[in-house]
Amino acid sequence: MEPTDYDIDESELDLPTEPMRLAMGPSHPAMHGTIRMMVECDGEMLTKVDVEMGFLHRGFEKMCERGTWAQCFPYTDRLNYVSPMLCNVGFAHAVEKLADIEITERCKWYRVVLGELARITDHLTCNAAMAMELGAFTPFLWMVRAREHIWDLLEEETGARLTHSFARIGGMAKPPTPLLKARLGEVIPAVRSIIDESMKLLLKNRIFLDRMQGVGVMSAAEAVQWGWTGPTLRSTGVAYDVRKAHPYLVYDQLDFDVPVGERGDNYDRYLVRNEEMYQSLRMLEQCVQKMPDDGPINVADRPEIVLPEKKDVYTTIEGTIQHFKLVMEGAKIPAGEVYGFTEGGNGELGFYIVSDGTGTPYRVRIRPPCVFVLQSFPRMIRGHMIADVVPTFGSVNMIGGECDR
Amino acid sequence: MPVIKIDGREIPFEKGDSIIRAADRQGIEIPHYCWHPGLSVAANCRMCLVEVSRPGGRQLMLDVLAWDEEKKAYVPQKKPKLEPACQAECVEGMEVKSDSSPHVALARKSVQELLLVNHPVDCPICDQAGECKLQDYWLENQKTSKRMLDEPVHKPKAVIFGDTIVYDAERCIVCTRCVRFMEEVAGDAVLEKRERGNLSEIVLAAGRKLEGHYTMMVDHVCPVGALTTRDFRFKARVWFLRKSKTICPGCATGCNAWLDYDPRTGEVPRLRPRDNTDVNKYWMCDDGILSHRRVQQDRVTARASAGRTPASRSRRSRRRFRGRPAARRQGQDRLHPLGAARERGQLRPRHPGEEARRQGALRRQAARVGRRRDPARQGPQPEHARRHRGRG
Repeated sequence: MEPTDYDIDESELDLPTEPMRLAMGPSHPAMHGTIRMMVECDGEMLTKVDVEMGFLHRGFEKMCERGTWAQCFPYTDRLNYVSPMLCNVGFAHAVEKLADIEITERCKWYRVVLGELARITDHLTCNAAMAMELGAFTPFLWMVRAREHIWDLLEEETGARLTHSFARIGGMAKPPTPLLKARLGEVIPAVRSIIDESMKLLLKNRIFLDRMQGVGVMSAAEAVQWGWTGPTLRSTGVAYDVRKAHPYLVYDQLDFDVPVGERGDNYDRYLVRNEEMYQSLRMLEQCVQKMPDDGPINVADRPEIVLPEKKDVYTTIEGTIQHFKLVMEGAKIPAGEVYGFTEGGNGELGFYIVSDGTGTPYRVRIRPPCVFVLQSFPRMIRGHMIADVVPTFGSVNMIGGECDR
Repeated sequence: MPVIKIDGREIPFEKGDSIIRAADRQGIEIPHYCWHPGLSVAANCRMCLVEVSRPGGRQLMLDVLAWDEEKKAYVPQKKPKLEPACQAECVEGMEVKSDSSPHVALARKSVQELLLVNHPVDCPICDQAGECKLQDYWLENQKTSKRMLDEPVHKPKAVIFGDTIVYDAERCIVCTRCVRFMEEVAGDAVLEKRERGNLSEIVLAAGRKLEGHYTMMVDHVCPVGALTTRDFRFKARVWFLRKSKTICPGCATGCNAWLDYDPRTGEVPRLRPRDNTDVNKYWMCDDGILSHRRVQQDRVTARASAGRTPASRSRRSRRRFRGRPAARRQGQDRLHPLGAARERGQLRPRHPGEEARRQGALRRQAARVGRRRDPARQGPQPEHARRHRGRG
């Protein structure tokens, strides 16, 4: 601090100042309790921002190395915990790639349905929270109402609202419920109308627009250099979407567009997420039409990896042995390494997994999409004001579980 | 040394070796139930069937009808006659196909399926689960679910064979390893096989029960969960146990053994034989196997001299005990007959308290005698001691 009895020369009003250092977070409400930013400001202008992540580090990757492959699924739920199903599917996808398993047609459709539902909840949460942190509490409640519709549906399907642990290597824990399509028919229009309304609440709000437009700008070239993927990358105008670029499951049979932004600012990120929700709803409508109503969910020809049916476990010795071997020793995934990647809520969610041929992963490495966005946060925010940290950070959609692992 | 080829790999053998023994010596496992390196050959489980072609000789072929998917009909075909690897003797230049033959794979799968046809759904309550050959070979060789949906044959369960062994006829695959062990190794043919086909089971000779010094070995030769010891039954689940190499502390033979301990509690629920052809071959006696009990039983857990706590000791003994760790003071942590587990601080010797006390007394006595005889060995004396002596 400057001494108060500073000898002020009347002719020189330009006071010598030092930049002020402020610690935002981890208990700052906009920092989600999982991050700290050391900001250096000149007045209200940010001159330097240092992002400190890792407050939610739980050693997820290391924990995977002590259970069986199947026991990793509950951990993946806790990666991106606003769209756990996408992480479930992403991990299953990587392991199936390594074990060379071709999952059943019905399972592919089912994973797309649950995954796209999860993507909508992901984007709803991001946009809602971003608006709330700018003081707009009503849109938040409005969008969360839509999320409730989806969570109810996911609960009916998987038994859990958030931490589903529903995917399995080679299939899913349970086949779809008979009411799935009927419920989708109810949920899709309900969610669509709520998203419409939420946009009406925000897009004519001068405060919202002023704080979003032109803030946190990132150019397409730089975004690619930083390793951005997902909605944030698309907001800069790069149309990279794993579902289109490297189609998996049945995304090549679905008709959907990849929305892109123009300027790569907060506003574009908001709009891209909004549009992606509409595209997801479009996909879900197609799934209702195309998804087969019967057929197996789990692959039948890989008994050394896929659990038997419960009725066989309880009544036949073969089923009991199969269950015992898979639960006690774990499915033996062939030795090797693979990088499996899918489009997660925040972008390319990658699992780099190494197997030594035993029932336990040798190494599970995760490519969390939001780390790459977050690491460039100082670059995005430089020259803006302290208050701009809040919407910009919100538009990044940093999810602590995924980022810190 | 003459060689045979198994799946293209050259395997040396000694004259008189069976294929399975030559392979076993090289660490190649040919799936088997009834063959045991220390017992005679029965060749009754048929799990070790392999494709054999002898030099110069014609390979035995069988005429079979095989389903042709294209013609949608059974067509006559030739198939090699498979031979049990435990019985076929090695001949120079012999070529064996084990894992590389589709016929062998099918045979193993079918044998395994047959063995499980009447098997009860017992894994959750079976002590063998986790180290059971039926489980291992199902995963390695069968991998199909049940096709026979009739009620399985029911047989006696939990038959008391004697003071040490319980028999479950439903789990038994009648490989007769136990029968052969009692007859050939223990020298007491107390076990017999009765009936035939899926009704066969192991029974006691009329009027007898399983007794003697080598009864518990039948549990260890049993490849499935049919024979269990009353000592280990329901005591632990094997996947929670870790094993450690040890020598049986029971007698001077020094049988090589595995010590299975529970890392969570430090308890030792069982001791089992470890192969060493120079010492104990594959066997251990009942006393030796049961010696694991001594790790827990009759342990000195408190000081032996009742009523004498450190506070009531004489000044000299208090000084003697001062500054020593508690475990040392109780004389624990000294002798460790069961070495490996001791490093983890889980096992303690049997009667160390008394031992230490006696040794301490001897040592003190010797020191007193030595001091009296040789003052030079005393070293520098404390100040008060010198003063005391000067005045005297």
